[in-house]
Order: sequence, then structure tokens, then C-alpha cells
Amino acid sequence: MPLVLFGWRPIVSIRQANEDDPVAQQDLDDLLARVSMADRAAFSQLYAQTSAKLFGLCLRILHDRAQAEDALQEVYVKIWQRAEAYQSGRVRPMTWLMTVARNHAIDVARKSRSGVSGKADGDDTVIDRLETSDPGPAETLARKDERARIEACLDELVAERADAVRLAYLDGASYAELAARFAVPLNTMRTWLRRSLLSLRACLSR
Amino acid sequence: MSDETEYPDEDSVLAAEYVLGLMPAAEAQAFSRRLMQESGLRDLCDTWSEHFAELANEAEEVRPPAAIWHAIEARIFERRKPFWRRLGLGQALIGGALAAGLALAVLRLGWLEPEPLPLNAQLTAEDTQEVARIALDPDSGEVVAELVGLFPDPGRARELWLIQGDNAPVSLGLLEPGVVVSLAVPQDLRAALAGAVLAISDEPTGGSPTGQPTGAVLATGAITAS
Repeated sequence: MPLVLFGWRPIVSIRQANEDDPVAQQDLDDLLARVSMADRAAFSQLYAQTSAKLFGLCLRILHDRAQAEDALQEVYVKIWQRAEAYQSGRVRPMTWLMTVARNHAIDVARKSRSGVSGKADGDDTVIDRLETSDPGPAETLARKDERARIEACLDELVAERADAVRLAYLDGASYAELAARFAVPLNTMRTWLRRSLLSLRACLSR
Repeated sequence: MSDETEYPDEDSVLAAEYVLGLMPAAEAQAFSRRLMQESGLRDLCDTWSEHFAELANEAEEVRPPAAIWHAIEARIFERRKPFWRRLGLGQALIGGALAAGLALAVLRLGWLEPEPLPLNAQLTAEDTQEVARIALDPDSGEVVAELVGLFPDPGRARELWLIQGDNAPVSLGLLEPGVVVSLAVPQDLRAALAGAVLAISDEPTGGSPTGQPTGAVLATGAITAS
């Protein structure tokens, strides 16, 4: 099933995804597979390898050590419970782990920002979707230097628009919060961010 | 079933908004429905997830304190121990006066346990017939139960009820002869489990049609922690 994705050039070879550290990714893949079979040793190894990254992300999102520590616990309990739904090859294992952590931390952050009506049910749905879809585009994505690439593409945006994207991802800011922050009407904010996302996509697919 | 349609810009932006959690709830639901049917759209979301996950790398790595791992380990692996040990309650048992001289026995069940269930922790009096083995976790509301005696006649079923104080019985579900089933206590009832009563009634196949016990109550017992 060939996929044509906006100028993403499908690549033939499957696992050259992580030039920076293919071994580590393969390891994570294996670890997750073993965790899904309730392998405790694999789980502690997975924790040892990934917890600093996920804890850093929780701290970055929550800005509160105690909350981040609680969140990290929940995140790994979820990982333990849901590892069998992770599908190798759909997204990179680290992306899956980051998504579980990010969505949980954002959920906590939104709840503790009282009065904010973010969308209620999306967080888990996104994870569920990552988990349940059929084999996907992980193989078809050319992802060399992906990190550098999205940073470079964000740099091409006007600074505050790039900030808005980061705020949405790393702070779970809603459109209403973004609008307040940048002092623009809600609809303007949405138009604005959507345009930024379009530019980002165009840049990322170059 | 991917089709080869090139998705319009609009869909890519929607996918990004969805992944970021920016969509209003109603839109997100509508988008979820599309996702279930359109693998190309799922691919778009995955692509965005990969991109955005790179932003997460902006966060500096921080080694969490060792206590976190111990807490996670305890939460995941301690489930093998009976919940009442985790709670420090000693042992929980369902005892008390029993209809028809029958008893519900609380048993040590670890629900991650791959081995056959241990069958040696019966807490009932010697002269009572064991009807069911039940363990509850007040935190999660999980109930695991196995009907080991008083199997239903054809066309009948055994239903488990939770009775708190003077409230009407609440069905926890059907018990299966010789099979461990997993049931759940509704969230709002979890706080007051100690002292509540469990009962098993005889019901038509599929359970009580009325939401209340319709047949004979075969066994009852209080949930106690001692």
C-alpha cells in the first residue's frame, strides 16, 4: 500500500530511521515488546534508559517537581499497562513513550489550571490511535536529522508563532490561552496557528 | 486500507491540531471518527506526532529520584500481593451470618499472577460450603471473583450484588462457574466498601432483568478488614 504524503518521499529501506542511534531504537523496540509480555526485567531496563528523558519532559510541562514526580509514576504505570498496544514500526518507540508522557503531563497541567476548558477527551484518544492503527508511516518517513529539521522549520516562522506551537505542544495551551497570551481574538489565534502549522508542514516536507 | 488520495492541507492542519490537543471537544470527536476509517489520516497524525516529539527533546534530561522507581515498582508488582496487605489492613474477609449456612470466601488473588490461582486462603468457617472466591481492590474498584460452589441450573445464573447500608443492592455482574471473572465496583461506591455486604442471588440467564435481585439470595457476607 503505497502512501503518498505531501511530498514525504517514501523510502524503501525500513529501519534506517534513526541514523543517530539505530541500536538504541532497536533496543527500545525490543524492550517494549518484552514489557508487553509483562517482563519485569525489561521494564526496569526501559525505565533506566528512558526515565530521565520522560522526567525532564514532565518537569518541562508541569514546572513543579512534586507534580512531575507523580506524573512520571502514572506515565510508567500506563506504559506497563499499555505496552502491548504499542506497534513497532508505526511510530518510533521514543515517540510513543514521549506521547504517553506528554499527554499525561498536559492532562495534569490542564486540570491544575482551573477554569480552563481544554478539550476533554483527546489526550487518551491520541494515544489509543497511535496504538491501534495498522502499520503506518514510520517506515515511510525519511527522518534524518528530524530534530534539527523541525527546529529549523520553526525558526522560519515568525518568532512568536513558533512560540505558540511550542506552547501548544509543551504547555498544552488551548486556543483560548494562546489568544490571551498573545492578546488576539480567539478566531484570529486559531487562523494564525493553523497558518503556522501549514508553513511548518510545507517546510518539513521540503 | 490506505488509499492513495493526497489529503488536502486542511486535513494535515486538522491532524496537527488533533495531535496537539487544540481541537474543541466536538471537533475532536468528529475527527476521531474519521481516524477510525481513514488510515491516511492516521498517517498524518503519526507524522505530526513524530515531528512534535522532537520538540520534547528541548526538555533537558533529569534523572528522577530513586523513590519514584520504587513507587512504580510497588504499584505494578505489588499487585501480586493481596490488596489488603498493601493497604495494611491485615486480612479482609467476608464473614458474618450467612444465608443458608453458605459462605463467600475472600481469597488471595493476584490478578497478574500467571500461575493457577492459589486456593488455600479460605477464611470461612469449617462447616460452611464455599460458594465463591472474591477479592476486591478498594482503590481501583477491581473485583475478581470465581464461583466455586452452588453452580446454577441450566437457564439460571448467579449474580453478585453490593449492598451498602440501607441502599438498594447494586449489581456487580455475573459470576461464572469455575471461571475467574473480573468485575468492577462503580467509582462512587468504592469509598465505603468496608462494612458493605456482598450477596449472590439466583437469576435468569443474563442476570436480573429488573436491576434488583429477583431470585433467591443464596449467600451473603459482610466485607470486613480485620
